[in-house]
Amino acid sequence: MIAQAPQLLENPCCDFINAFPWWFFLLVHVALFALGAFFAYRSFEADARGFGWGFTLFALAEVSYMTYHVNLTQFLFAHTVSEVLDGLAFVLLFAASLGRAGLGALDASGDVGGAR
Amino acid sequence: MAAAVSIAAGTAAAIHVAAIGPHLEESRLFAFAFVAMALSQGGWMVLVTVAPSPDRYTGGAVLNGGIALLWLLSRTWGVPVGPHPFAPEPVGTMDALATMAEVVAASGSLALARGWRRSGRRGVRSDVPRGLVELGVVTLASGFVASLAATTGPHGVGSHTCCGSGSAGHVIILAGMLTVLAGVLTLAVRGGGRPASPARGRRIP
Repeated sequence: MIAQAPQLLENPCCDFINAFPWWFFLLVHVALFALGAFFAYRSFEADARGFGWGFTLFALAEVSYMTYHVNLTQFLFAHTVSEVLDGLAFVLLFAASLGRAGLGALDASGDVGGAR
Repeated sequence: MAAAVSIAAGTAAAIHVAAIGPHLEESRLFAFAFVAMALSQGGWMVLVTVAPSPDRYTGGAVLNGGIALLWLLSRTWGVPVGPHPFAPEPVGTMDALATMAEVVAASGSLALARGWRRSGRRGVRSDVPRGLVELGVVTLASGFVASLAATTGPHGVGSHTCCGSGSAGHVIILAGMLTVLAGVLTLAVRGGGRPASPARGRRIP
């Protein structure tokens, strides 16, 4: 469907990205996944569940990106799923951060619902 | 050292997974042997990552050392079975790397078993979430090394045209990521048990 949309230009910008070796993209996603998983683990260890789920979704988004890079899924599918997961992750992380700062309806652990 | 040994065994297992397809065209027996080697090395990696013990390290030294010796035999005299009995095979990049990984795994396992026995420690079982995360990290690293080793030569533009036999390593990377996530989610369901500091996150009155 996207290919059928009006194509005004032929993507003249930034062809240099195609010169990067395949392993570079894998390395970037693996590194980001490792960061997300590490912070998720530490957050759950500290019972900060809001942060934990936020970082877990971020790590899951990296897994979705990786499904494209290991030739399992189509580019557009993998990146759409990843962007949705990243969006949800950032919402959760922002909400948990607001809770920590005492500005939202989150309790000290970053859980939705607030401390009763 | 323990992580290096696990990664080495995982790398060898991943390379053997990648070699199953090409060997299936040559001989079912060889393909079956590669399945057996991949399963035994991968299974052993899981075992020593989740529940290490000196006996298991000794077993790993025998397993990985034995497979390395079998490779040496196949490159010098040739193996007595298969389509070309006693015909030595040429040394390739992939099989040489797998053998190097096996030598690292075997010698490291021996050192770990010896050190463990000297210290008088007994086998320990790590808790499930941490064990899964460690296993996932080891699997992921093994898959990455196997992917790099399996993909010599050009692979087109960007990353999406990669990689022939290297794709086995790629799938192992994905499996590693999912195992790490399984560890994180296990911890999420079970609960961390370490309460957050009461001083942090206090509400502004």
